[in-house]
Amino acid sequence: MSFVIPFLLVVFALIATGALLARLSRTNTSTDKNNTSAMIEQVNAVLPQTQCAQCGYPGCRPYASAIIEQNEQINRCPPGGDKTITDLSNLLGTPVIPLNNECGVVKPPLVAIIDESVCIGCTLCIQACPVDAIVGASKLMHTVIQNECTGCELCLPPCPVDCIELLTPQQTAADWQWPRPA
Amino acid sequence: MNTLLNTLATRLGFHNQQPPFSFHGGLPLNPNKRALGESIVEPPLPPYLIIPLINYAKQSLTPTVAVGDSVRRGQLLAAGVVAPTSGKIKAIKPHATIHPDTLAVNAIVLHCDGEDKRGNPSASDNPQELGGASDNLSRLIKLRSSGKQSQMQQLVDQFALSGLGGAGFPTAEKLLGNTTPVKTLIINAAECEPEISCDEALIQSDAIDIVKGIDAAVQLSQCDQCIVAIEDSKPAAIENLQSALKDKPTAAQLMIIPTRYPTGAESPLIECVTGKYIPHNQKPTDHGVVCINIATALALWHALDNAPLDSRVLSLGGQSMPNPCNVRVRFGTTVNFILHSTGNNSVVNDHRIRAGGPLSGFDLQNLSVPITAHTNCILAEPRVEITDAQACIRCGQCADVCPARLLPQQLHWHAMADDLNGCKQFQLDACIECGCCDLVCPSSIKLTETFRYAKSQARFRDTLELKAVAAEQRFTEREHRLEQRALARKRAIEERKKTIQSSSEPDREEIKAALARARAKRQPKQSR
Amino acid sequence: MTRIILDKQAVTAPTRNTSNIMLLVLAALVPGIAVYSYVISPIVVINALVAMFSAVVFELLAVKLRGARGWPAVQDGSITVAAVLLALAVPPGLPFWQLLVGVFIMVMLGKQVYGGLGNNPFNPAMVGYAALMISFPQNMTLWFAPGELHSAGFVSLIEAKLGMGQTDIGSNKVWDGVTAATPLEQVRVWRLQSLDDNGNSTALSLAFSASGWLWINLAFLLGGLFLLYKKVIQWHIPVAVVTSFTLLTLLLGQSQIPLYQLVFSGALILGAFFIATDPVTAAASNRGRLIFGSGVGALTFTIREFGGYPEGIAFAILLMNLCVPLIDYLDRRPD
Repeated sequence: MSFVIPFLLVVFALIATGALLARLSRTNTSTDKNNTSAMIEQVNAVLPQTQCAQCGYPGCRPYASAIIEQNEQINRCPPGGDKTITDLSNLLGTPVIPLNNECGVVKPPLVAIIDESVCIGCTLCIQACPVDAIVGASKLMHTVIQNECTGCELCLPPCPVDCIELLTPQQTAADWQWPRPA
Repeated sequence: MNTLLNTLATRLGFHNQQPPFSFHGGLPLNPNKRALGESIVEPPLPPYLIIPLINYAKQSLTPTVAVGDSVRRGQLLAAGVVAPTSGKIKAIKPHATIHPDTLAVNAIVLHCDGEDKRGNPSASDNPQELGGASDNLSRLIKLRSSGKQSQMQQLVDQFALSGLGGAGFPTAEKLLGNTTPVKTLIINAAECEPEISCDEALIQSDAIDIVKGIDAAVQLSQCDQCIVAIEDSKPAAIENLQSALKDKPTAAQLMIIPTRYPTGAESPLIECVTGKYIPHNQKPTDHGVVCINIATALALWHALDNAPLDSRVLSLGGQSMPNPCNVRVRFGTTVNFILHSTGNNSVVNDHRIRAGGPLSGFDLQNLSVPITAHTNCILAEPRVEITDAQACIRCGQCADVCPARLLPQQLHWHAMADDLNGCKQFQLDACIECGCCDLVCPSSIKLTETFRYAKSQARFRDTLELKAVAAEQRFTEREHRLEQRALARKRAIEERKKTIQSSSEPDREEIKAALARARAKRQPKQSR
Repeated sequence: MTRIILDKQAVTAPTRNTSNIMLLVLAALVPGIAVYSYVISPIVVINALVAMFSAVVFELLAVKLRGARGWPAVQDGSITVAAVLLALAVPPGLPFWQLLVGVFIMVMLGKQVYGGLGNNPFNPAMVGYAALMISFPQNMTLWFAPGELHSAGFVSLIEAKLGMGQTDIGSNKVWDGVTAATPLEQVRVWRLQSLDDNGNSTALSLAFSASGWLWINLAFLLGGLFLLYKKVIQWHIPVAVVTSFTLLTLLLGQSQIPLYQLVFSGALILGAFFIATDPVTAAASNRGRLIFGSGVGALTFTIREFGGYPEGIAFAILLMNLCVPLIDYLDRRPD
């Protein structure tokens, strides 16, 4: 009879551990992978929302739909860089691949600025801006809302007088970061 | 016997059951009050002041004055910023500030004329019209009770009252902007860190005005009770406060708390005084607690008396400071000028000059940086070798001393792996960066630096995410708008077609005629 | 010029570095070792020295192989402490080469393969102990009653441990009439033979042996209390180990030996105060430490009472080391 207690103890311990581990390992695997629109949403959330169209699609959401619906490659986003590729590969369970250089190269974050003395007020850049970050009216000076600019460079080609420049945003006290300790 | 039992209880980790309560963690650090002397040193006015145009939330401010303007002491230069003396504005340009990276921010360079004239040149110079302190106080209370927010704000803006503790949060907002009624107002008379004794020096010299300020703060906040918390290592200051409080017994009660770092910080102090630990995601005001610095209480009194906050007392200390003292300086005075005018210029070459305390401060690379409301000390320390960090042995001492009840070793692990989600799970946001964990770490790991790094990374990621969400929204809205516009155009064309098709014969005749005319016109061209 | 953010040197704070902690632990082991060598044999001191020296050599080698600087890694002293603990945990008569095997496994598989100090999930000393236990079960369960090794003579014992001369420890040739008579071993033998009746002679030698082990364990307890007083360890783990062991023994225990002898024999005290409290491999929060300690106590009881080994604290600690990440994950904030 002496074996009964240890036997029960062992069985109980195994069941308890198993139940605990099962509970702990229950992550969001419940996401329905067939649910296309939800997946597009998740992919879109990973993309940097620059809306630069360097991927060959008119914006981030269209690219997200293409990744899900047309099996488009995940390496077509230069503004996102390696981080976006890694995040996408984690999300979709596909291997990490290097950035497609045909789409563009990784650049530091930039913002557009209009040389207001040169601007002729043609409104072409306003029409090109994917996030409505340029204000102005016909024959009146235009200006970029710095906070809303994503640095997509789409306003550069249409400008007839080349008065738009992309600059690294000036560092302010609010976005200064502590360096990584050695 | 009782003390023995108490010591035993605290050693075993039990907490006091009556005020002052003990708080979690902390360390009994030596206060090192080198700077504390007979009186506060008043150096002469510097030739120029540099006033950074930036508020406590690190947002840049737009100046309300222009280059070339003459200003008087107390005149508004930007929202919440007043001129610390009279003079002429020489420039508005980026200037290095007290910052770990000596970051340059837009600043006003004010050349002092030495006359130190008060008042707004556009307004009357007659002091009677401005009203005394009690007039201003009652006016504020009346505005508050009648709900005239904008007028109250206008009055408060002129005070330029920012907290004189470490964070520089606008004090008026704390006292007046509460939605929940204030139960306890805590006046923080505990120093922030070792080496700092500016509050103690202020109490020793100005206790009577301080109590007036406390009384004003009590009336403004409409609190049920007000407690002045002061450490037991300041007997002279305690005595001064007690005798000053005798004249105004309604103002506040004095609570003597143990000298234990970091009681000067808000959350440990609140825990010490009320016994409640306020979780980091809640504000003290949600619990009916407001905490202001004792120097701020004095500044409030002066501001009510039409002398907006434009100077502070700071401690000059550190192992190598030849002439340690507490000194009253105008905001915008450079560190260099302060050291020179107090006879401490000999240290600048071969020592490290630090701004802020030994724990929350940092070494300065440039000494021509201006002091601001939250610069509480300048230290001179010998140059030392930094010991390399050893491996973490998970001894857990960091968790024992953490006043925010965190597990620093686990946080360090996640922070060094750049696992910001892991940091969030271990509640990195609650870290008050007191440095206790660094002090006890047997392996000399730079925990606080790592946490600062991870916190700024998290903040950066959050702003990026917010920006991405905004950009996406703008993009979708634009797409929608373009779609609508295209649809509308299409519809308009169809509409037009329909009207043409269904229109009456005469119209058709007219069209035919027009077409014929056009053809007739074209034919000669073709024949050529 | 180095730029300092947080200036530790500018503050007078009660600080202590890792090497100091390890020195304190070694100091706390001294009374235990002294009583051990007095009661059993001074050979434990030799064992400890051999283990320490070889551990440092292996550690240097391993750190070099990992491409790091050797001395700083050794200077923290953690491997020295682990080596001494291993030397104290094995039977004193264990041949030196087997001890060296244990030390090698301790350094390499217990510590360095994970990346050295702070990264090992298992207590290195106990990894070495477990490897020895399953590799050399006969020698690892050969314990001697107090006084037996003294009578055998120090030199012949060293010779035996070196594998020289005529002697062979395993077959007890040098020591006539040696009985493996630690109280725990006796308990196990009784249980295996289902003997209720214990003869007078066994009981007498057992009582003598038990009192010897009692003194040794009291000396280790003294060292443990010193560590508690010095705040090198917290009370949570030792108290939880002893409490859960005691409670389970009172509830489910079936041996005839009095409780205090069970607690103060074997390596329970050494394990509770010195081995389970190794911060690297124990739970991080105080609540976690209580859970960890209770687990160690419960598993020790289970192995002693139902298992095939006379002493179970080594495996108990290793099994609970396995649970530490889970405990830490579940208890993310200290109390």
